[in-house]
Amino acid sequence: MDNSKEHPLILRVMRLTKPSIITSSPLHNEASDTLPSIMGHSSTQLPAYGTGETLILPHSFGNIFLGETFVSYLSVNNESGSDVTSVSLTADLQTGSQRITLSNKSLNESLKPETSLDAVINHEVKELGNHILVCIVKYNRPNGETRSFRKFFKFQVLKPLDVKTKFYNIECDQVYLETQIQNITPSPICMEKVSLDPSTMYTVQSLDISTHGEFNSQSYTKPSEVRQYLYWLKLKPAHLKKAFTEAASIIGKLDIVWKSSLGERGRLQTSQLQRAIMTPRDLLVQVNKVPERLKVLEPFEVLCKLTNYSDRSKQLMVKYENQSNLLWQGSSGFALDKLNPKESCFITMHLLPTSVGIQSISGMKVVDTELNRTYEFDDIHQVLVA
Amino acid sequence: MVPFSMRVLHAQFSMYLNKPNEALERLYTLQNTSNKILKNLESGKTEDGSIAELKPDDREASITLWNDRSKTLLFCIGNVLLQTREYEAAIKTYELILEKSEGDAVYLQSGIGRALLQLGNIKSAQHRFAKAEQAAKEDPNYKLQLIMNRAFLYLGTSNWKEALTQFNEVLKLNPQHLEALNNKSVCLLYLCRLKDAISSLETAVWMQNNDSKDFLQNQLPLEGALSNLVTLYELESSRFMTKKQTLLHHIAGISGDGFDVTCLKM
Repeated sequence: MDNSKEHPLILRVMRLTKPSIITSSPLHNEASDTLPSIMGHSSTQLPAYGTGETLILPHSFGNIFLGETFVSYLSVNNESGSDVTSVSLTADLQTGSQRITLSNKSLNESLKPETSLDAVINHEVKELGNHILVCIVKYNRPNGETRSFRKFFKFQVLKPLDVKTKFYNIECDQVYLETQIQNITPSPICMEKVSLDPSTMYTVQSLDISTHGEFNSQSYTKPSEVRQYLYWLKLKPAHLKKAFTEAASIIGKLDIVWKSSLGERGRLQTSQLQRAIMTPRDLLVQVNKVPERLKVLEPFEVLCKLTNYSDRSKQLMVKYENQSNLLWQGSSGFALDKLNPKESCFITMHLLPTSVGIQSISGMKVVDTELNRTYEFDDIHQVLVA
Repeated sequence: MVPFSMRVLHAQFSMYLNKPNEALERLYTLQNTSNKILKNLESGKTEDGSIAELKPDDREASITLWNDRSKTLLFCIGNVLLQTREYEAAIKTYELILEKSEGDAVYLQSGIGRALLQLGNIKSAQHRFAKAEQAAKEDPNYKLQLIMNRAFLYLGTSNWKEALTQFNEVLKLNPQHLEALNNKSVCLLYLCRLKDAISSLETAVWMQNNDSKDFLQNQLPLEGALSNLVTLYELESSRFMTKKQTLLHHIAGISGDGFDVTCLKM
């Protein structure tokens, strides 16, 4: 690199990761072990605890991960014997896609010998791969000529977390999102916050059972460990009509904030997550109300909602067929009023459980009398019979 | 008759040889024995379980000795676990010490808080520092420790300015506090004040001499301070070699044979 011989100024750069705390395995001795008067110094009050109170500055560049903040100290030192005028320091960060200026400092007065122009640069790293820190130092020679030199520092930004997502479509308007986050850094990290920012069409509920206390199951993730999170997303009632469309496939994005040594912060957001759109259906049966405690051979009522998702109004007839251990009661077939598109009607069903255990409501058929098409609805709900 | 301290050393040496599992095995064996002895003493027998009469004074002294030894072992076990980054297990071990002796509560809770900060669990660290404050019960002897704790919390949130204020507070109470001088210079560096950082560390290093009673206590922090000072010299200019040699001369004059000069990175 071109310095001291040609230029009166020297550029020194040091990355400022968070310092670490000195740790040790203190040795133990007892009063009976030592002979203080003869042997010279001995200490009976050595600290016994391993993590001390002394901060240690980083010795090397270390690793840098996506989502962390890159902090560096830049120092332009005058190593010649005389003053140097018009000194300026510019620092740019060149990534694969852009060039950002991080600092631009200059001195009005001249830089005296053995003094320096310093800057600390901060940048939240948002891209993976190669990054180049370009530092340009400009100054004036005594004869007025402007000279400059540059230094390049290359570093790689690594991926800190491996995020896997899995969708479970349970209804056209509800979906569970399971996400697994793996720590692929070499040190343990604390997940400070993992949340799902839903898109405008959905509401989200996190299904994490967080226990209180210092070391709950979420507290820290060792290298290569995986944490799993579960979210329940529901389509907002106002958007129910769009349940089978493209628009409903975008559910939101994951926002992950973590901390590592001495509070070094990292933050990542995934891109918009998409679920598979369910195949559009004309009719949908949803169970609205089911009694909680069911006893065998005691009849019960189920309130359900039949929705017409097609674009045409339908003249429907409901038929019941006994298929499981839940027997239908009442009339086995009846006609409904005309059901307009995107509208729903409520049906009360009467059932009689004949055996104990988990039973499934099956055997409902809805016939479109105009098209003469039968829609079968089996396993619309499961109930526990005592 | 092997002295107890030598048995502990035997266990700890495994750590220096990078065999933490062996160290833990040996420490837990010692702990087991120590617990058996205490149980024997407390149920009226002698240390090795035989039924013989011990004078009450002797019994008291023995129980105290073995309680202290048990505590030492727990510290060693906890430290080994911390070094292998098993934070949860380490903290549970330290909790056992807290149960045994209330006297160390402030010191231990502060220490555990620092370990949690090192891990990155800022909220739990805050919780622990609050417990330390509770245990201190307004005792002026603990004032320094509590200010250091506050400073560390600020470090966790990268609030270098406030951390610096706190370290300065410590220095008002004890201008020769080595850790505070060292940590102050770390804050100054992050606040873009390299020259001030160097001067603070030089004060810390040059005030050390082998007459000071605290020299042994300060040995480890001094190694840390020297390592930091050398790092700063390397950042300051390309002519750091002469400064390092001056440091080496000074240290050679005041330290004993056990001092690790690799911290000067020469």
